[in-house]
Amino acid sequence: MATLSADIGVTYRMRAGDLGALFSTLHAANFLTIGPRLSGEAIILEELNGPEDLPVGWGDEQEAGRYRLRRRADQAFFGYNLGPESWKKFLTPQRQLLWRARRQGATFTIEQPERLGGGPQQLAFIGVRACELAAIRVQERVREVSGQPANDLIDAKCRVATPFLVGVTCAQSAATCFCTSMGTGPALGPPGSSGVGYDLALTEFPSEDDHHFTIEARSERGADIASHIPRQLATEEECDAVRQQSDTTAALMRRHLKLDKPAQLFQDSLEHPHWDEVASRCLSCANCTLVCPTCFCTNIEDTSDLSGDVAERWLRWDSCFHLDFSYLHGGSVRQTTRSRYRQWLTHKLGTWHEQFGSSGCVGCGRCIAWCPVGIDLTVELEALTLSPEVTGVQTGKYEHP
Amino acid sequence: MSLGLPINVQKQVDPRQNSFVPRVFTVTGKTRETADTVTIKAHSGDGGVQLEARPGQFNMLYVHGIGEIPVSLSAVGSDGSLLHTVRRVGPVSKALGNLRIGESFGVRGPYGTHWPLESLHGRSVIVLAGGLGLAPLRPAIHHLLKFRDAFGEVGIYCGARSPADRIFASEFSRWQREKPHATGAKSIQVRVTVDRVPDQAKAAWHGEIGVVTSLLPRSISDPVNAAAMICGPEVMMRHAVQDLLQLGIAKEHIYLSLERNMKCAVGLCGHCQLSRYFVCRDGPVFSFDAVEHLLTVKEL
Ligand SMILES: Cc1cc2nc3c(=O)[nH]c(=O)nc-3n(C[C@H](O)[C@H](O)[C@H](O)COP(=O)(O)OP(=O)(O)OC[C@H]3O[C@@H](n4cnc5c(N)ncnc54)[C@H](O)[C@@H]3O)c2cc1C
Ligand code: SF4
Ligand code: SF4
Ligand code: FES
Repeated sequence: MATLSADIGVTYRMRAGDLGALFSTLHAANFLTIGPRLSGEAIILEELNGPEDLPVGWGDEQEAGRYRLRRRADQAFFGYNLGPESWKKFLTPQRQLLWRARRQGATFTIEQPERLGGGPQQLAFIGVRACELAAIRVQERVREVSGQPANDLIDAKCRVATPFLVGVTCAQSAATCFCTSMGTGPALGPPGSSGVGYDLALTEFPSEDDHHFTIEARSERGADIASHIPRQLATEEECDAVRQQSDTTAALMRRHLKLDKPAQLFQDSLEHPHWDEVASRCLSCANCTLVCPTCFCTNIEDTSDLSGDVAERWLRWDSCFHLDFSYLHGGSVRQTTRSRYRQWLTHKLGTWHEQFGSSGCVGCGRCIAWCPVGIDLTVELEALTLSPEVTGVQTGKYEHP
Repeated sequence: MSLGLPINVQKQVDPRQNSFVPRVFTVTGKTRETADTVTIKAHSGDGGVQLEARPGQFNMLYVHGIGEIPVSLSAVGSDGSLLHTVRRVGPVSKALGNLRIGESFGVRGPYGTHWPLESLHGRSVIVLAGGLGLAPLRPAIHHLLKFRDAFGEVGIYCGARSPADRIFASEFSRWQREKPHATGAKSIQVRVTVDRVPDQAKAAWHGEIGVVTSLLPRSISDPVNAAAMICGPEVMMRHAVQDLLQLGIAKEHIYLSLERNMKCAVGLCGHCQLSRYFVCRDGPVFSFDAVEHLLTVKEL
């Protein structure tokens, strides 16, 4: 049975003890397995050797400005919610070398990363949640619209082909989650329904006497990998349990984001007094943009060695919360925290729709948990859209720097 | 989530231009325009295809080991050379200005939207430039000269801080066409104004003194049928638009070139965002009706 081929869209049952076969099959197929791992006080994403590296028996407790690991009563592999890191850590690394230039007399020549060495490695992401599939798709869309070929941006060491994606159903939500509002989770829908196409869907049932998973292939290569994992056809009840699990998670979701007319958010809220109120709390620390799985802003850094002969161009994460982000000779356009928080929120929830055809927020809640002062976009949005003092554009005179 | 929605991308980006890797160009000429501004002429050093730039577009110029900045094309030579007019304000612009003939720099581009000259055929045209804003307008002026008969009245109005701060001043007389030529070519009005004239230069200055918009009331006779192209500091453009609207020029026929911090120029780094726009891709040239609601809000 282990070698019988698996069919796409068919739900199988897999013993928890056979999770190792998923890793070994991926390794045999030349994939580097990446997933959640306990590190210090948080669960982060790193290379995993096998199931033993997963945060077995750990969960977390999250609130605005708060994230704490908690021991679970069971031995669940995926019993945690999202940590501070998202998969953009690997898909658009924090720092990437774009090219290197060498001076040759009065001129210079440019070498591109392909020629800098390093072989391509295929990545497999283990434990991708529904909202994260959506976030990967949102970032992909940004590159698509820019017309920038993805491989132009990626260091030779990193992704060349689309990573192998193993999705996991969320058996519980954190208090910071609001994926139901954004239509991105918690169920792992059919491939492409709300996010990027993926390969395998896992749902975990961590009971003490019968710890098991359901596994379903969502792609050809997903079926290939699943073929090598010991499994049996799931019963009807076991199939129902998958849906029940995400239904329960959805029903218990505590936060919600309500925005009927995203296209109007920007225009309607521009001079809202609430921006000043948020600005009085916001530290402009940029944590929210760093943890956000969709924030894509980057900076280009041109560096050179001491001799000035070898220069490099690096692409690295940037944030609209930095003062010099909007720098023009003479002064930055967005001088105040008020204007920077406004840029972030109206872009994420409003103008993103016009630019990329979707919201820029997938409801993962990371920016809520990791904001040092607990600023919560669902609450700020409510204040911005519900309060009566929406003033609209004030056509006043001002002097630009 | 509906990611399948069609997106209104203004133009198809050419994959050849669509990269962070610049092409190497070599300086083949330099013209000093003012004390702090030079025009750099350059040819491609890689024997590759010529850049096909349209008036109003810009390139990202890279100086080895220093950095990269957006600079408008101030002309494209018939021999395929690129002309950029650069004011030295900081590290990269200074390094560009210091390049000597024979030295190389990197070019990515051309990027952005252009002045919609073809769609203005049949209209009268006002060109309004403040300071260095004349640089991205010069290729448009060259088009107006070349296809003069395709347009109605043409007026070019330039403002500068002082007579010594005028750029391209030696070309003004070539642009100016007083009366209908013997050949029947139509006239072009060129007027220049400066904010102030230093005492020692007073005797030599016969032009106007005052803000550039003060030249407008005496410009063209058929504003309803006219279009305007403006480039200069944002404050100046804001005032100019009000004056042009007052003259009777329609919002959708007023075009302006905006400036924002730019790092990638391909709609990817986020730096140049202005509400829904990426100024590098959806601009820098916008019609006023597309940005009217954005220009009156502080710190967007
Ligand atoms: C579409 C466009 C066309 C332009 N055309 C011209 C032109 O034809 N001639 C000309 O002299 N200048 C032009 N500029 C302005 C020119 O890009 C800035 O003067 C230049 O970036 C300053 O860089 P710096 O390193 O010399 O100085 P600094 O002011 O010290 O700049 C440091 C960094 O900040 C950023 N920056 C600063 N000012 C600007 C700015 N105004 N726009 C964008 N990024 C900025 C750059 O990344 C720069 O490397 C144009 C700008 C834009 C956006
Ligand atoms: S804005 Fe906040 S909740 Fe939305 S995707 Fe980004 S980090 Fe998650
Ligand atoms: S909202 Fe919070 S996390 Fe974001 S910049 Fe402000 S203080 Fe930092
Ligand atoms: S300059 Fe990078 S998005 Fe426009």
